[in-house]
Amino acid sequence: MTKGEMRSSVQGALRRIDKTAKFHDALIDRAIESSMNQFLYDIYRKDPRDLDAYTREYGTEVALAVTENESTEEYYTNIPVPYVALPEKNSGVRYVVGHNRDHTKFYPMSNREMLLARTSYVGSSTAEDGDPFTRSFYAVQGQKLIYFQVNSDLVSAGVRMGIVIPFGVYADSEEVNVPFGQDDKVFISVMQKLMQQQPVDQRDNNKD
Amino acid sequence: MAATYSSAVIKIGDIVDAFLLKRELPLSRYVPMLEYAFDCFRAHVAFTSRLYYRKTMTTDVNGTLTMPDDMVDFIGIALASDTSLWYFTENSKLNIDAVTAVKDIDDDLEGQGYGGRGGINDYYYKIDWTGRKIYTDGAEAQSVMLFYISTGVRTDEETLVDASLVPMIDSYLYMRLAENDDKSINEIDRRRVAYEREVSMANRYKLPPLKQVRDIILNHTAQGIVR
Repeated sequence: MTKGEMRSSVQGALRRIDKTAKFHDALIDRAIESSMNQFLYDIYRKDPRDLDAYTREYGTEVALAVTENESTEEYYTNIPVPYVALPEKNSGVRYVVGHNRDHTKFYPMSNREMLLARTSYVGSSTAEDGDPFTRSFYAVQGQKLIYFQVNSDLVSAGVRMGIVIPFGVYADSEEVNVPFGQDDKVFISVMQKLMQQQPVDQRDNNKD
Repeated sequence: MAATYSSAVIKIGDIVDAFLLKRELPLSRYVPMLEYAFDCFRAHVAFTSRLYYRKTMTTDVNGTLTMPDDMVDFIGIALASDTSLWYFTENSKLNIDAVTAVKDIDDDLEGQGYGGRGGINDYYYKIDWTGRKIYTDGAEAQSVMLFYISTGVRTDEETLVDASLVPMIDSYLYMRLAENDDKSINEIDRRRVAYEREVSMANRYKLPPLKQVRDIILNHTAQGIVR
């Protein structure tokens, strides 16, 4: 089911006060998104690997830039879209790889670990002779990834990353993966949120 | 095409990668598990297996060496130019302030001699662990070969681990994982027992083969034995 179809099915199922009153699309989208996020969190709690079905890769065609903040001398990449926040170090950023899928490996770390790692074995003993930092680390800070240990090849090639995207990021015509076997529950959850409000107050005067 | 085989030494980070893979753990567990892997490897190399490292160094004009940063224990020191290594004799009476380039211990006055067999050793050493110095006598400004126990952890490149140690590191990580995850005492203890068994196995792998033991014994006995 596409995003637009999901929204329409909710719209069509909501009660109407009169022929013109209807819920604003944005309000329905927010209700669906919040329900979907809840179910994605449930999937994460059950087995984080199952989130692969809801992960979209960015930077596949055009690499995401690895940029240096000259004042802090830290390298970072802007996360291109909002992500579903999850209670893990990497939150909704499920993986990061070099754009060329080279041998550099990326591991998530918390901001606290990033501070401590500089004086730990992790920070001082993972370089590889002649080609330093084939193991890089990243921490999620808001809409940025901050890196720890990056090499020049990576900076020039850029990265790609897999992100668990919220409902709002999908285009209307895109297929949306509803959490496994939860189609009815998502629908009911959305309806419960919206049924409490009188649609006349949510009229979209720009339509119809 | 010729067959190829996996390496006998493995990067420590790859061992942790494989551990996460086998235990189906997320990558977010990598950082603490890698730190634990270093702990395990260092403890094994430095205190359990005590594999020695060799380093050729030059003493200063007074015969003093500064210990390598990774040195945790001393095995021996010998002249680097010798074809057969004769280790210096420890001499706790060596006065580190008096022994200099122009003033050596009088070797003829040093008791019964090296190895109790009448020979007189020209070279002595005394270790100052606090100052991390090795004072020698008789080897001033010379190239010497230092044998020592290291932490085993490389800081210039990724640490390589003997493949025989992988099960031991795996079981150590699994034990620490139970502690991090607040598992029951019983579960932690079960994993500790498994780890100790792997330590025992790892040490058994390092035992010399029978032929090597025979050679060592014959090498240390009197010349009368016909080999």
